[in-house]
Amino acid sequence: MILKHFRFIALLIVLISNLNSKTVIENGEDNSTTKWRVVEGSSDDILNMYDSELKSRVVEFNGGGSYKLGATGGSKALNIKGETTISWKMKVTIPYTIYILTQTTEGLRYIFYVSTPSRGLKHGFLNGIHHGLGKATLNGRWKTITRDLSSDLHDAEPDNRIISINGIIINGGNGIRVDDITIYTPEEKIYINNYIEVNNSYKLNINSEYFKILQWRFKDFGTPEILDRRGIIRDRDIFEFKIHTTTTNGKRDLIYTLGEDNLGLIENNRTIHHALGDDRVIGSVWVENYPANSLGMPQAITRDLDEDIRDFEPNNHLLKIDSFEVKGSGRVGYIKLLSSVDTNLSKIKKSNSTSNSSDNLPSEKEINNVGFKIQYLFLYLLLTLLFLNREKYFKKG
Amino acid sequence: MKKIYILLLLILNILNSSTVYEDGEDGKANDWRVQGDGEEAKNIYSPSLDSRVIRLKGNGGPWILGAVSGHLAWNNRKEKYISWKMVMGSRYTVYIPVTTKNGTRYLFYNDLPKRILRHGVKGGILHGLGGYGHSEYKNVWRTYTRDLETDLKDSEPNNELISVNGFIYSGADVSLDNILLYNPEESVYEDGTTPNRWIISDNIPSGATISSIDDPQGEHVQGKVIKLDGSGLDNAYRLNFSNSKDSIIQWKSRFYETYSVSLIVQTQKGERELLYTNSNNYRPSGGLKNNGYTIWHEMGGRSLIGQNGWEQRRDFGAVNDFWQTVTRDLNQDIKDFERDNEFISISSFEVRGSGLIDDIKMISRPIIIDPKKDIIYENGEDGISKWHIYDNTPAGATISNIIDNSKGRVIAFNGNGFENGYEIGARRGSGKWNNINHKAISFTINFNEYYTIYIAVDTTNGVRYLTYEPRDSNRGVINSYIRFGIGANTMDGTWRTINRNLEDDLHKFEPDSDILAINALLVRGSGKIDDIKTMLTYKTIIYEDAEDGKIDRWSFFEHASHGATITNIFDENRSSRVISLHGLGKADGYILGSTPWDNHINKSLKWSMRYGESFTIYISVQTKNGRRYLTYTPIDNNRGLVGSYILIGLGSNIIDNSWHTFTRDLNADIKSTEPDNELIAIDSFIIRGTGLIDDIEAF
Repeated sequence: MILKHFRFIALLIVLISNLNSKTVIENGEDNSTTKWRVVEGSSDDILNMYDSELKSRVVEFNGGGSYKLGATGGSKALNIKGETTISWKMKVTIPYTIYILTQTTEGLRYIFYVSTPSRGLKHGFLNGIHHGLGKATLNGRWKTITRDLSSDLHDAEPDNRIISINGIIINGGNGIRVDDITIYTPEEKIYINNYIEVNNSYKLNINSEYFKILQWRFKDFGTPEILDRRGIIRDRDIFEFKIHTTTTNGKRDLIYTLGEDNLGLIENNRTIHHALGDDRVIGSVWVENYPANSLGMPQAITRDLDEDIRDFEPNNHLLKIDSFEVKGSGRVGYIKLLSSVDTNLSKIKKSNSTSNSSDNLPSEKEINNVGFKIQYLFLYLLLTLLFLNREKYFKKG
Repeated sequence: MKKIYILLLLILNILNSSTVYEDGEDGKANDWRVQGDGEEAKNIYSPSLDSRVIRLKGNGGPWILGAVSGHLAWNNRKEKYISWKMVMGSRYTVYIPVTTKNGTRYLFYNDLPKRILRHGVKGGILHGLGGYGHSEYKNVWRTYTRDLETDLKDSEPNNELISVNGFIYSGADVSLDNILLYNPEESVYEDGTTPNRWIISDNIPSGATISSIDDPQGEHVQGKVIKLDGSGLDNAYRLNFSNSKDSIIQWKSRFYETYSVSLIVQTQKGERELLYTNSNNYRPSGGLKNNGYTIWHEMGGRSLIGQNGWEQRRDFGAVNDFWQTVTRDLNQDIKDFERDNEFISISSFEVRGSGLIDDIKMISRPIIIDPKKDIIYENGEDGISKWHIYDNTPAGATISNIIDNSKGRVIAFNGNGFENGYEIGARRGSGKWNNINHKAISFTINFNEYYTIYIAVDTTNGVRYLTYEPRDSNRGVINSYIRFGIGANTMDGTWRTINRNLEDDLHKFEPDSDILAINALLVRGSGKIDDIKTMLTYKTIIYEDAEDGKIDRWSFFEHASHGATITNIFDENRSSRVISLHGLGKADGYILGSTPWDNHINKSLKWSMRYGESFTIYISVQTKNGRRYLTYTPIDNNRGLVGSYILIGLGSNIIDNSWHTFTRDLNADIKSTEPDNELIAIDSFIIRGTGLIDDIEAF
């Protein structure tokens, strides 16, 4: 019997461990660049250096070349399985492309991110899945990017699944600095687990202080005009997604629409606008003969709301997500919150809320500790239960 | 008064004139005729010379440029020196047919060192140029320079050269370039009157003397000459002088025994002795001696002292042992045995042996205008003196040099509109440009009213005026005018640069005619003009405009992702078809020109691109210093030459997903890191990175 319970406990620990596990690919702390290989450029382009703003060692890439960590396959591939969310910090002013090398059930895929907001999904690059991170990523601020790779793959290939994450390529972005490239599995809080029809407007109360990353899916907004075998949505106002939040500076509404350019702070500086790119964000692809080449493929939007606020108010921070609102007609669903790699949101907010500095990023020590805190909280509870029932277990053993 | 010890006579002949009969730069070989067994002459590009050249192949030819006589003969009565470049593969003979007072003569040259003054060939006078048996002479471009008048007089001192008529090649396969006649500048260091400038540099045994005497030869044609008299080769006599301007030396000698001449020269690799001997060896000798300090050439045995060789003509009688002239290209003589070395200057001339010597002079090379270089006839910077009003009715028209806000100094015409005409160069007479090399013209104009630009050219069908008008269509041939519309919008008051390939324009309406010379530019109308220049040619070559919907000109240079695509798509922003390149960023590369273009005509490249991410463009080019990759990236600085890569930043602000057009002067970009290097040819366009590209054009 005790063996049975120990198995149960061990399984539980493993599950909890997986649930909150993370794999740090690069954090610069080894004072080395040897993990990186040059695809195009020179090995002199890569520097490991101390960043005084981040108070951490980071890796800098100069020259705008192309640099790879890991590999598509073979012994150099990272072969990280089970975790499919990636997070990294970066500071850049020049357009870049960052490729995540993934093995999927349908073969090799390069899930890649650029500094424009648009997504091209298949994009003409047959193994490539393209998403734009938006122009605000070029503002030269240290920024944490979090991407749900499974979701990003699903945008283009709904039936495909990630098997392993094998590497990363930093391309362009002359002078880009990166740090804390981490693969992890976030906690999730799901609000809607299907699609609902929206007729002009829809609102969902969130009321969460813990998470700062919001994800939702949508489809069927607008009627495409067919041009050169590709559907085009001409109406830039075909939808508006609005997230009502509470920040250290007061109430803020984050809104997201079609378009290339972020409008930033608008409406008496209470609203922050981000553009999601052109109409390809609603599910078009660039490859003319691609079977799914029609508008209306469901697309997921994953936004780090704290980062989106700080794009235009660097000293502001998210305290609470109040509600999610949709304007327009279409279908919306699969609305959920994701934990970021580094935090229980409220804890960071509390520590940062006392300071107006824009560099209140958690230290390396804090980052490494956060995951353990959640993990060992459960472990502590289990061990306590075990202790309290120790006589029962030992006697029967 | 003391005697003047330093004598420097500068004799200016018809200063530096030259007539180029073949430089290959027109891309043609139709001036050559082949007789006997040979293929038609071809015009090819020589990478080692970076020039178009003539290639003659077959079993000996001969091939003829010009003619012995008749209307094809050059009949050049003005210039007496010939120069040509040649790659000798094996044995050859070059004949220069000339008309003399005593009839036709064939001054001919081969690879033996010796001269045969009365050759069995009727009218033939042979001078050997050396190289037979020397592999060093072969498969390398050598420059040959001959003084035809002295070569004639070596054999026939009383004859006179009247005209030079052609160039005949017979022998093994060969490449030839820059065949021209010219008159050099001469710097004379001894004319037989200044024995005191000499020293006896080897007076053992003692008793050697240097004196000035009257030429003892029958007719005393040389006047005063220098007599060197001692114990044969035991004594030496030296004349010191310095010349770094010229690199060809000439002297006259009359010796009854073998002698040698030793020149001390400075070269890029230090001091060298150039040693010339006339041993009795028939077989050529020569090469490096004294651990490379001495570069030795054989002058050709006893024939050099004036013997007649194969003379079978009785009329020579007892006259023998003529004055002989030696003409040596010192730079070429150095390079024969030290290929990478260059002549800098000469400091002394030393003779060993007893005999007579005269007319020691240094001779200039021909000034050859590189036909690949543009000739600027007007850039507004030096007044209006080159212009005149050729039609001043009604009177009152003016030409002025003014400052234009956007162009700086320009030429302005003010008159009664189209009624008045203005000219630079001349349609006829001495003011003609007589530009025989160039076939294209460029000019920049600004007119607010109707105007016409005329380019006066000589063609094989006579004088033509290639006429450019502000119309939208060509009016074609009207008498000797061939009228082209260059757009009604060209009289809109803005500056416009017009580039025209004149030969192509001529061929549109007179396909059988060729341009012989560009002579003048004429203007009717009131307006402004600037930057008039002629060019060897003007051709734009469009390597990609995507309008045919194809992608087959492209291929993968590198395909790391195995998923990259090349597609031809319609771009809404550009309203044209474009090439879409999509792959794993810079890990995938795409090439236009996997078969090298080998474009020797154009020096600039233009392209348009729309990129939202980093890219690297490599323009693969041939240069004088070897392969170079002009490497353009979206960064804000140039990073110089790294290996074969010339790293140039196009600016980081261009990766903005907008269309940008780039125009690069590739030669200037090469010279930005290697000032001494030169573009030879453009081969291919290679790009790494994902984006759109269009309208790749060389010009």
